[in-house]
Amino acid sequence: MAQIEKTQVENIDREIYDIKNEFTYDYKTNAGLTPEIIREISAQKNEPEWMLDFRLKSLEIYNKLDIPTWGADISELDMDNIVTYVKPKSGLNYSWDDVPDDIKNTFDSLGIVEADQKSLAGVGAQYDSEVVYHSIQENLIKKGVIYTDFETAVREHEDIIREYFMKLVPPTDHKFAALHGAVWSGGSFVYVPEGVHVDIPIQSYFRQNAPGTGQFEHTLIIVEKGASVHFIEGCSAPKYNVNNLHAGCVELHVKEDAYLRYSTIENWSKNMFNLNTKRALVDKNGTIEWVSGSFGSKVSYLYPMSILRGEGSKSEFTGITFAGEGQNLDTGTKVVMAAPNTSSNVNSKSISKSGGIATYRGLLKITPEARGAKATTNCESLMLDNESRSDTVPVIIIENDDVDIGHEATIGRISDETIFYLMSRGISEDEAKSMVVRGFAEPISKELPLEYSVEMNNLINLELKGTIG
Amino acid sequence: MTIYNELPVTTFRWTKANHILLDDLNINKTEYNYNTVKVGKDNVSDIPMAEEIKIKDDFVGASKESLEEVLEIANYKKYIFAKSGENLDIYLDLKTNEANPVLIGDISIYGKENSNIQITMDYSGDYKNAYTNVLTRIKAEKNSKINIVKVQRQGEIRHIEHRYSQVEENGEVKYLTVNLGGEESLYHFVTDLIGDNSKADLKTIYIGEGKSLTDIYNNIRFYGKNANGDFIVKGALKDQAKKYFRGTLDFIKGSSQSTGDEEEKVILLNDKVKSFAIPILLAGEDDVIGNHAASAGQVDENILFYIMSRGFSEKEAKKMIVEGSFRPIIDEIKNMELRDFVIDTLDKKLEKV
Repeated sequence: MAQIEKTQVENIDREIYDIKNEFTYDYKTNAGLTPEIIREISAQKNEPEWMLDFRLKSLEIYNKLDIPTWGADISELDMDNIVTYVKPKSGLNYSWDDVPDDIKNTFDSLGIVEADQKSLAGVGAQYDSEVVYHSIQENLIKKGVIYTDFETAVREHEDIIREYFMKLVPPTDHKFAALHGAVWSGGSFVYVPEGVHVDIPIQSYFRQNAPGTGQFEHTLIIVEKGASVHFIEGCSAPKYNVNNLHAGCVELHVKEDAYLRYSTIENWSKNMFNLNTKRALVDKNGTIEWVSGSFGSKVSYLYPMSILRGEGSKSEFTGITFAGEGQNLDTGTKVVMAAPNTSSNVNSKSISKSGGIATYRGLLKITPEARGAKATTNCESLMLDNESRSDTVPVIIIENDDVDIGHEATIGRISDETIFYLMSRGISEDEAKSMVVRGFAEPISKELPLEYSVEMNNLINLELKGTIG
Repeated sequence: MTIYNELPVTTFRWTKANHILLDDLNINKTEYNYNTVKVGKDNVSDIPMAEEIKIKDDFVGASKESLEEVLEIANYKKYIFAKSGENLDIYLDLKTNEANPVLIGDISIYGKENSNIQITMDYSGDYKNAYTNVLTRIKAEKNSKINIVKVQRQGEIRHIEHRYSQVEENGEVKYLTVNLGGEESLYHFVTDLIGDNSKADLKTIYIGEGKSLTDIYNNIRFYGKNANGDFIVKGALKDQAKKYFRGTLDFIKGSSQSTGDEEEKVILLNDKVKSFAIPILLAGEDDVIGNHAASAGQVDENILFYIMSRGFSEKEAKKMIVEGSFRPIIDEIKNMELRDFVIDTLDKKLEKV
């Protein structure tokens, strides 16, 4: 087993990572998550007292709540050993040789260079994005935009963080939100001042490779009045590590007349339980747009939620889920319309194959105040064989009469006529099928920045190769 | 409190959409001696049939307790059996009144090969302290047809119907359900399309008024090949009425070439109404076509404007639109007297819209 060279975090230009205190959880505990561990994490991070208290309270809540009874089976999750998920297994000694073959092959097929392959094994090697990142940073700082890792934000922007942290997703929300509150680590803080338009998407791509983050990262974005930004969260390549629980939390505050687009490509390794909570609160005439692609993980629970609190606010959701062998991806979106003249559009697609399970789970709730609400939902599920499953479980709750609501869903496979037609034009059966699948995914991929949509198409091709039938 | 109509697959608990909780009623079981068979006396028997209709173990009914109530203490048991090639026409007048306030019924309907059964079930009676809890078991053998028209026009009472059906090769069941009464109307229908080319066609219309609750659970399960199952639910909600629509199309692995459509439309006529819709699609088979569509809103303004421009008042126009949406379904009621009754009742109920 080849030992790969160590790269110390200290060697990295601080301006890029803005990490002042490197810390690792290099202590061992036998089992369970204890207040001592929480104190240790907090001390390592040099946190203010209130954050420690918050963590300890969250732990109490975590111990009281039960695991959700609906949805994909997560009984394999060994909650008593949760601490081992918090503790990165000294990533620096991790070897490329230990990475499973399917992931290595994916990387080779995606054309990811060796240097980056090394970073997979936990070495903080850099991507070519650095330069871009620098220029974005310069540009943003001039406009008064704050973009920093979350630990730094807690120290340097304490007042804002204290006001907003886990207010939208309180630890009482569900068991894994409580867990997140107790052990969160890493993530991003973005603040866009009033009237500022950030033209280039901000990407959290770089931060995903810092050891110890990415399992319980916290993202907080505040877009002030009339401002706009596009944030991309990419774990754009499957990141192999021994941690198999991801319970991140994303809180988005979209103020009056503001606009936020939040794009995600999730491609966690196939041993990952991805129990992420994402929520946006939208004020008067504000807009939240979710773009979401889920490819990886063993089990996902992922339902970005929009709360339309302000009159005339809007939510758009465009998502695709691709469930392959051994995967149970339970995804969808929740929209609560709680003010007059709000609107919501949901466009969700899923593909399941080789025994994969894809579930669309949705909620649309229209409160008595939300008069004049308009909402459309469209779910399409494509099944590529009868080993797989595809389910749609939407809930529509309407509490006033001045609404206009439409919901449509279809389940089925690629029609034989379509394949036959393409084959009659000289296209092979496999190619015909993958053309149809790419076409099916196109409305989603066209919403993604170029490199992501190329990557998504590559992923689809990889997933389909030789298995479609 | 008891849980009713738990979804076949549950979802977010905080939505309170997984089931409904209802108070337990204190029911004194009394005799039910009302003479119900108006048409088809020779074909409705009190004696159990040789061929019992076995209910699948996973059929839980509207609630475990209410299903057990029927199985243990039914005060009304009827067996309807059509021999091979036989055609039956039956009319059951299922009235509750002061003398017969409680109806706990267990009705079996069995159609042998190539038979054809037409049944009208008219649940009526405005006695305030009445209660209805009926299990309908249905089996349609090869090439047989069973067609049920049910009208529920009782007073402000709890009305429960559990319905379990099995349909064999080329068999067909049709249900038409019209729900006009009841303070709490609970439907729990499971239709198993077991045979190849089997068919289920379900249509329901309802009108909710006052503080009434209408909870419609409808699950079609596809086992056979090239099976077809459709259902349409149309309704209007007034006052502070509440409705739950729980529709499921479940394509079991092996049900290739099957198709299913579920469609739900609700017209909202007051700002205090509450409407829940959970249109579920489940597929373990890829060679199927499953669709569902749900829509909710007020009457279409363009149509309203058009009708009013022809000299009708807004009230009249609204009424015409709602009735127009129900009419194609009502027209399938073959019994003229009952059909006219339904039309008149709707007319009266929509008067104050």
